[in-house]
Amino acid sequence: MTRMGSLVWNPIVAREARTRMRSKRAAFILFCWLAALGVVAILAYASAGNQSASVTVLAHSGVTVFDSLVAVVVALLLLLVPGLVAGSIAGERERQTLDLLLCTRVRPWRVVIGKLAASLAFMGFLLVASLPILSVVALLGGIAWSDILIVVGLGALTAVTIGSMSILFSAISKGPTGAIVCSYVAMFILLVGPLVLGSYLLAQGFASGVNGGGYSSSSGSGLIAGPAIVPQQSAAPPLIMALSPGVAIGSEVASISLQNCTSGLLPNTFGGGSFSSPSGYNCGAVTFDRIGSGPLNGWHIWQVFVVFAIALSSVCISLAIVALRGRVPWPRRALPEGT
Amino acid sequence: MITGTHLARAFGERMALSDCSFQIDTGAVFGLVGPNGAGKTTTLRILAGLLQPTSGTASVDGLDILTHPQVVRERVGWMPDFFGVYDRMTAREYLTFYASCYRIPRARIGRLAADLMDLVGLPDRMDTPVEALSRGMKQRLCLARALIPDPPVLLLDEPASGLDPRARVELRELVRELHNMGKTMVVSSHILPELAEMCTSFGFIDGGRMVAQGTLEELTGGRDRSTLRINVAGDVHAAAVALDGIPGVIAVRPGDAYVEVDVHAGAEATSAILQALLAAGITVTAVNPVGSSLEDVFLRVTGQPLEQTA
Ligand SMILES: Nc1ncnc2c1ncn2[C@@H]1O[C@H](COP(=O)(O)OP(=O)(O)OP(=O)(O)O)[C@@H](O)[C@H]1O
Ligand SMILES: [Mg+2]
Repeated sequence: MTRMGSLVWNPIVAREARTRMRSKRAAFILFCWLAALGVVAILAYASAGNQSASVTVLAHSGVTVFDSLVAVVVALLLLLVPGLVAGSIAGERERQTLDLLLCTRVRPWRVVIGKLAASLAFMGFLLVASLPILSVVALLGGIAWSDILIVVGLGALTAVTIGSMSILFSAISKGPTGAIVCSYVAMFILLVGPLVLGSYLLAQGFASGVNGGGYSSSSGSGLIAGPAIVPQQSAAPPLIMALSPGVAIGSEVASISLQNCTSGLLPNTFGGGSFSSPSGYNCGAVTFDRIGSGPLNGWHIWQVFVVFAIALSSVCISLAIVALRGRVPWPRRALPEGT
Repeated sequence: MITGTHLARAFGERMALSDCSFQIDTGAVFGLVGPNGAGKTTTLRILAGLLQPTSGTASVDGLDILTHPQVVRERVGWMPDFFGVYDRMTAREYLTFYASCYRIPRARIGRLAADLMDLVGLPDRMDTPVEALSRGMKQRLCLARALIPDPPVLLLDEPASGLDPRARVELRELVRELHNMGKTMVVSSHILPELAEMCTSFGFIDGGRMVAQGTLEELTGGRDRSTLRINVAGDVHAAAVALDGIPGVIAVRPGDAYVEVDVHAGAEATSAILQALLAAGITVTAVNPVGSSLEDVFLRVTGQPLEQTA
């Protein structure tokens, strides 16, 4: 086998892909997924239609529909990840197939990567399945594909991050139930923790570097509070808020909305608190998605998140591999796999 | 050749193995016998390269399991007492998956899977979903899986548990066949009679220690015998007379509607006995082994009797 081929060789991914697609559950999830997307798209169009029937607003309504669809895509993807990933290694342990796997030439790191990749591949499949709906919306809304790519990319990265945390719990827990519960808690902390901590710091009057300029003049608390009236003056939200995937994706979506916004009349329809962005109510007024001062001056919020997410994922995956390697005797110096 | 030197393994406070040394010759079928919790599974898992001994070490074919765990893992076929299987897979796919985990070239896998299924006696179950196989069939599939890398050493943990009598006979045949193929095997069980017929040597393990080991001859000092209780309908004394002088029979004791016969454990005396009884016109209603000198040895070294049945 070539060097490259030997690097990506992973029988686990192939097996999981095959058996998972055979399950009734996979078909059921796919069905629910597309149904949910469709319902949200229709509802969003309907609500947009109520506001104005004129054709010129169609671009606006496209934005709205896209916004809500992204919210649904991200939320659903994230809800699925721990369930899909956390059971994988812990499930093998419970079924006692993990020993059989570790007896073979498949090394622990390949088990971890393979399990993660197999579960996330299924989500990639869901994402691809929803592309037709997303692209119709994008076309009607006149949204640039590059923006969609950034948002979808951020969503995928968030999924990988949560997946990595889940695989760590999967590698260290005895059974799948505990792993899944821990993973959901960890996901919740990742999503909400930075916001809570950030707003706490904010309440303590701890201002920091996010957006010296327009951002701080709009609202910091609005990041969490949603449809708040823009306060006259407030501190900038602490940098830690950029670590929440919700803020990263929200800021990007809001900036897309902003580019398409011609008047301040159109409210951002994001429902979930973490997705709302003050700029949605402040069309064209501010730049809000960049950091305005400090060592990271000029960085997009999503860029901060990307760095953080990649670091967190790497740590979790490494720990999972260490945990799995600890289960079987290992020589100090690993022999080449081919021997 | 498999050796264990002062193997010990602790799980927290509890010592699963405290001092376990043994030596198994190449080509031997080694019966690892001991009561529940004696440390059989722990010993086998250490040999399979799946568990680190707390102290002591073991080697397979001269390769130390601590310094060459990966090489040892590939030389050893491991069949656990509980076999996990994946759902929604056929037996063929199950074997194909593990074959690819052992990096068997794709072109060879199909043939290999068919050969292994033939060997374990499931040639017509290739496309049956794994979860639809009976317990005995799953066990055989698991054995086929263990044989994928063609390991010179096989570790079978309680292979006969949960099998019906016929499946046990078939298992014995299978072990014999693998023995003839030159495999070294370690077979564990807490039921001695189950192993007595298929093993060439034995190790008695109790409380984490190997309390005795050797061939049947060595363990019983050449005076090995086992006792059969034969229930007969009719005259017990006529039966005793009919059994007198059959080769392999040491002593006959008539009882109340049965005779107890001591036979040499190695000798295939049972069929000769049954033939003699039939020739004498005596109806045999049941034949049960009630004890053997091997069991006496076990009783002596461990201080407790073994279970007679599953
Ligand atoms: N993973 C583990 N964690 C804690 N204790 C263990 C573990 N595995 C085994 N033990 C303990 O080690 C001892 C030996 O267990 P082992 O499974 O080797 O026994 P065994 O001879 O295989 O018994 P059985 O006939 O019931 O299979 C037992 O007391 C058991 O409780
Ligand atoms: Mg056991």
